[in-house]
Amino acid sequence: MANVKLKSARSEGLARCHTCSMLNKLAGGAHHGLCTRCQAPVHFRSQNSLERSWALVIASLVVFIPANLLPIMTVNYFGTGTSDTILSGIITLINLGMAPVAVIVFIASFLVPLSKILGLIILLITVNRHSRVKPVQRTKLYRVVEFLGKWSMLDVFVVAIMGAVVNLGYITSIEPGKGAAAFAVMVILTMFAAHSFDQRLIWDLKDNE
Amino acid sequence: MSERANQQQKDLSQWFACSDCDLLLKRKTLIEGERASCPRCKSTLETRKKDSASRTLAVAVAGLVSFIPAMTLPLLGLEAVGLKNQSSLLECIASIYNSELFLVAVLVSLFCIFVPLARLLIVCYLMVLVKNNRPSQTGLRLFRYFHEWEEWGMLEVFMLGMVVALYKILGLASAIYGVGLISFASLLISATLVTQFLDEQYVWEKLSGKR
Repeated sequence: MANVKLKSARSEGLARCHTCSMLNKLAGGAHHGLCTRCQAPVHFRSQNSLERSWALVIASLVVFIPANLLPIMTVNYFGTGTSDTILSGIITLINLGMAPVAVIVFIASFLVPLSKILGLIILLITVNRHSRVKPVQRTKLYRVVEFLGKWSMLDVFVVAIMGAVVNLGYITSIEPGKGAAAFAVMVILTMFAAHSFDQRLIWDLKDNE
Repeated sequence: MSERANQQQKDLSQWFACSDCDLLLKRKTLIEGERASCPRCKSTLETRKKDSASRTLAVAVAGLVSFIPAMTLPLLGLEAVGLKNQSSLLECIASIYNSELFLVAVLVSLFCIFVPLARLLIVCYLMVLVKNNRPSQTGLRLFRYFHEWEEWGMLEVFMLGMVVALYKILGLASAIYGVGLISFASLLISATLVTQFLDEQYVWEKLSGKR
């Protein structure tokens, strides 16, 4: 295997369609075109991938702040209301003696979005610095970031379900809070950020060796 | 398309580029059940699945059958001091809408209703086309949408959300398990099996008439 010269599709003037994986020959000097099979836009590498991904990562970090500071829901119990943010909600769960659920919520709502952002930052910095370190591991990191994407929507769904189900008038009711909206926006921004990053950039230096 | 360009396209279908590292590879003909992976970054290139079209069609139809009950029947409820309340998925969305979180209401309906429904309908139609050997330009466009929306269907996340909500309800009062839970679970299983049984490359080739 080591003796075989590895070639990227780009070095042969071929662009792989991200949607249907068809190879497309791009005519004279063009960087993008339409896929001959499914008509989706094809590029050698996504255009301005790093810039777009950085912008979205920074935006999601900014939205991360209100998502964690604003109350995600308010629990009314016999006329008195207590507001919970994501983190205080986790503490409430522990106090109620539901540690396993608290762990799931902590992982899905706090650890996952934060490590997703962190993972993307690592990928962006290493590609920006033309790093040649462990491309296989970095590709795996990207796959994990991409896979985790939607799972951080968990808390938004929990709030939606609780708000509808827990509704016994004066006795007890739950009111979803503005934090849920900020949180949903943050999750979507991180999903778009992961989307904008072109993982093939990790390997481009290897090919030029 | 000229004769020469046509010839070139034909040759290109003999090659493959890895989705993750862009390595150019000669395409191998796979037998049913076989999987090809990239020698450099180990990502899966292609899997040839057995009896893909019929199986996919069967589970997609099963998903569509359980769709309406999964949306309208009550999923979860709670009971305290003689009072009861149960909610379906649609009522959940209505309740967020009434709390003036319009954005969240729109997002939840997109991720849990419209995207999963559209993908099931598309896959049913496409499997009928594939089974009848009918290449179709519209089919290609629909399959493109099916592929691009995959990430935005979040039934499985909603299911986990129900489990977490259930535990939280148990901390407040006693919980009621709604009949809708069964339909929702069957919808979720069907949607998951669709991605399991679907052979994407096979569908692309069938729809473009190259197979």
